[in-house]
Amino acid sequence: MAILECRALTKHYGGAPALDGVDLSIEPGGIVGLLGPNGSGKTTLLKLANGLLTPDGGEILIDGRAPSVETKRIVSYLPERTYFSDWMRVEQLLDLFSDFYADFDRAAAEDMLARMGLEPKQRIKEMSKGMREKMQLILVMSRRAKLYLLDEPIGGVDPATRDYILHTIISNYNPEAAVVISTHLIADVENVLDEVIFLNTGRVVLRSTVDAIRSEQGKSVDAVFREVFRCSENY
Amino acid sequence: MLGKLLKQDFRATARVMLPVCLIALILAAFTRGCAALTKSAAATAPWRLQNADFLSFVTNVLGVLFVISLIAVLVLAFILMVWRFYRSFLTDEGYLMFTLPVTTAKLVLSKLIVALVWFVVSIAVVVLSCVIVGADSRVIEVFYNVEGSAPWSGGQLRAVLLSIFAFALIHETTFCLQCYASMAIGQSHRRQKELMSVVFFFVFYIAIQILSSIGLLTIMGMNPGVYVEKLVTPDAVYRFVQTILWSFAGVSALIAVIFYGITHRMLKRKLNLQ
Repeated sequence: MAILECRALTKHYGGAPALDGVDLSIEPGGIVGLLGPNGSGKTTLLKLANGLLTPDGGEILIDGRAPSVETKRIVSYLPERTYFSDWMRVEQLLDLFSDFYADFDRAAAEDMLARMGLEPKQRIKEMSKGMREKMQLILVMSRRAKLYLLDEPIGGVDPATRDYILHTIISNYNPEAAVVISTHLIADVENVLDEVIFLNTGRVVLRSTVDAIRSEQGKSVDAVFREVFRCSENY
Repeated sequence: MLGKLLKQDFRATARVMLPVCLIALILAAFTRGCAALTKSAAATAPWRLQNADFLSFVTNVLGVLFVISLIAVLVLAFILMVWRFYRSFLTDEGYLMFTLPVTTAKLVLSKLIVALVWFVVSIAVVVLSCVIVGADSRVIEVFYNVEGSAPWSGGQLRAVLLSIFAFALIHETTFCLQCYASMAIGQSHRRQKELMSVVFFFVFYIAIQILSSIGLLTIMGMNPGVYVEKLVTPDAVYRFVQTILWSFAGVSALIAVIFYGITHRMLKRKLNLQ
């Protein structure tokens, strides 16, 4: 059974379509790259899956259900922006995640935070932007969720931090879960992906496994991405 | 889950409200102490006028600070009520709050309960501070003798005071939900979310004023002059006051339910965290 399924999913912002009749399903047990240029609808799709936006048409299902309290229990979402209150301390954030998510592995999170050099009493406002992003990723990946939705996890960070983030993702996710990574930085993530979905102007333009792209086309995902979007009139 | 949300909301608001409440109470105690010292200095050593003047000056400064602190307590309770809702639901924090596995109803209720608790606490702090400042003055005498000076029996007076408290609480609930409903509608717009929130607040405000006027005239049988002429006995006044208070409380509660419905529906069906 698909952990994430979209049927004729449509979302408009004003008159412009952000998603235009998207049909796709993602099975558990792999890392899927949701790839596309800026404005292709990646973030909108992830927000719809989390119930942060409501579709204008079609439906989106998580484990067979529309976004709801039940689906939020099994989805671990990393938005493209940090959502912590500045006044909070590290330990208060751990309390918050422990309180609300039954699948939160606090020991794993504490271990990763300690390796980052963060003290339990440290306040969010004392952290750099990069530290906040890492901390948010650690909290999200410390959940034993069925579906991880990561929106631009490596956007706007330095190469060393990118390595740290990708390592944190692949070494912490629940292997029985599906991980969806939305990004336009293909070269950096393609080595961790099992499958890719190309989105352009709100439509799925290509779907393939990474192995198939490499063996059948003899190219990297990044090269195929450049080809696909070079051909697109909207690129 | 509501308990856990309340814990988070109290943690977020107490760090602001508790120090301000504490400052108001401390200032009340200092003002009271300084006023007593000034009185004592003037009575026991009137020839040492300079000391008495200095104490009087300090008392006045403390008095001004005390009044400012009381205003701060009341204003902060209001600002926090609006700010917490806005920050938690309509800014980046909304990405966390709306992905927690809790219902929209509990998210809204948590904010409402915390706002009402701080409203009651802020009123209590203001009353307590005034009692501290006027502990041996005529203010406190009036406070204690209000039962004797009122035209009603003790039971009637207590009933009226209880009605006033209940009305204030219901009215505050309605006001909170009016702010929440305005912001919930405002956020659903693509642009100018804050401006649209303000616009809808005033639209609701005007609608409530019109409704209240119609309600009052209905209670008075469309002829206020005749109704007021009937208020010749304390019992008639008592019945009038109770009727007015509970009629308005009932209407206010009904409006609160409508505002809650709007807030809930907009955040559940029209959430727009773009």
